[in-house]
Amino acid sequence: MGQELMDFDEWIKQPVNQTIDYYATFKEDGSLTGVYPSHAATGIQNKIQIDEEVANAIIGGAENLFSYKVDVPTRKLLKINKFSTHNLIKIDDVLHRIIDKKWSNIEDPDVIVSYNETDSVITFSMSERYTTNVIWDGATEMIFLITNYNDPNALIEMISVRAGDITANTKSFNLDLPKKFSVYTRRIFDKYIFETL
Amino acid sequence: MNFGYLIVVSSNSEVDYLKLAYALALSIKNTQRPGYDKVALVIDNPKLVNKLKSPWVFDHVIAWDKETFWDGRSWMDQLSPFDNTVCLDADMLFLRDHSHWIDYFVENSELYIPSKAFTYRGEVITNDHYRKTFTKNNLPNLYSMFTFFKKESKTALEFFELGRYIIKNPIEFSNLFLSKQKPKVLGTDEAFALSAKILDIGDDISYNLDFPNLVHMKPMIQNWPWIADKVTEHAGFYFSTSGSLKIGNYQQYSVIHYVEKDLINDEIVSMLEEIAWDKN
Repeated sequence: MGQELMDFDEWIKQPVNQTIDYYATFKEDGSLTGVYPSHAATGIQNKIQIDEEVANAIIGGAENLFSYKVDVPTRKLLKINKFSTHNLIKIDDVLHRIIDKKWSNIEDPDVIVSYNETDSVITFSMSERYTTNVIWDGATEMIFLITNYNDPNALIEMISVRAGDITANTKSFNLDLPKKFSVYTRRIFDKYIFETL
Repeated sequence: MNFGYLIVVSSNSEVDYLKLAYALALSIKNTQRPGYDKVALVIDNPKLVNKLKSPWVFDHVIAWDKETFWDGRSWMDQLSPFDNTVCLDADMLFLRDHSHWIDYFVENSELYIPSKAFTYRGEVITNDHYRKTFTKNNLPNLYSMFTFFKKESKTALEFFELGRYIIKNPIEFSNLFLSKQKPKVLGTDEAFALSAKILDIGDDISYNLDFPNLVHMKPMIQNWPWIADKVTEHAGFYFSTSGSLKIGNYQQYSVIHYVEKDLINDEIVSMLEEIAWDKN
């Protein structure tokens, strides 16, 4: 039985290298359950289209389903900050002293705490590299303990800042502090720095 | 009375022992009474001392490069410029005045080496994790990090000469005297303990005293129910601008052997310097 060939002109018009769309499926709380190419996700209700780059990272193992979640009301994919899964074992992770710029070798800090002695204002800010690349899920609370100099046993003030609040903006507080004090925090990021203005 | 502290250091590619000795000398100047605060430094490269902000904390700087690393301490009796000396490890800090105890040693001892040390919580260390050689071979439990001696003492002379001989012949002495548990390295502690045992002077040079209360910060002897690589991974090291120290939430009052060399950073040195400058 002879095979019927498609007309050559019609065949050449067909798109070859079709782009595959990828979908992430999720539970009601927004946690991801899978990543599928479009043809395999038909019939699933809780799904959103995701970037091929993200899909490949998850499929290839560079990241996993727990690296992301879906903001259900807006149906947007959020990248969960990788530092939030930091393993809190060492005292320096749970009670990290933010070293004064004067004594530190850190050149590219993630979080900057600055104190303006003249105006008595303490300001928290984040590196510019986090302003666009990371979408915060709003649950990463950073607690800063203002204490006696190099002594977290003597607490002066406790300040809570949400990581998402200082990705694009800074956050300032009026605080009348002694000439010498220290700032401690639970270590979410790798590099913190303190400076007096 | 001619008394002073002796610190022996040598160049090392990984650790700046001069910085540690400098911090220790500053802490001695800051806490001990005049006449009890002299410090002599033995170093292979004395020119480095002049680069310090306050080289005057070393009353004597002695150039000596016959031995490297800790072996140099076994020559303390030959190197000390004082009649009465306490030789210290470089990685220690003084936190308050102990001058009255020096009077006690000068009056009552020719040679004294403590036989107990404490955790940072003030408990006597009984764990022999780092001292299996001592317990299995029944050596006196000496901590040579604080060694008092009189230069004119014959007992001290004999003790140190034998200690040096042991360090020079570690295999022979290990085979003969430490066969139940040979040390990986026969260091000053082991050599001094063996010297005391051979000379049968353990009880004469190391009896029960309330000083020095050496706080030894090696991690596996802190009576913790977990394995630890460093004390400061589990308890913070909080040195204040007034020269006091808390480890975790325990105020420290005695002599600290902090072990972790990187604890003495430029900031702490600067704090010690400011206290010294205010005092003088």
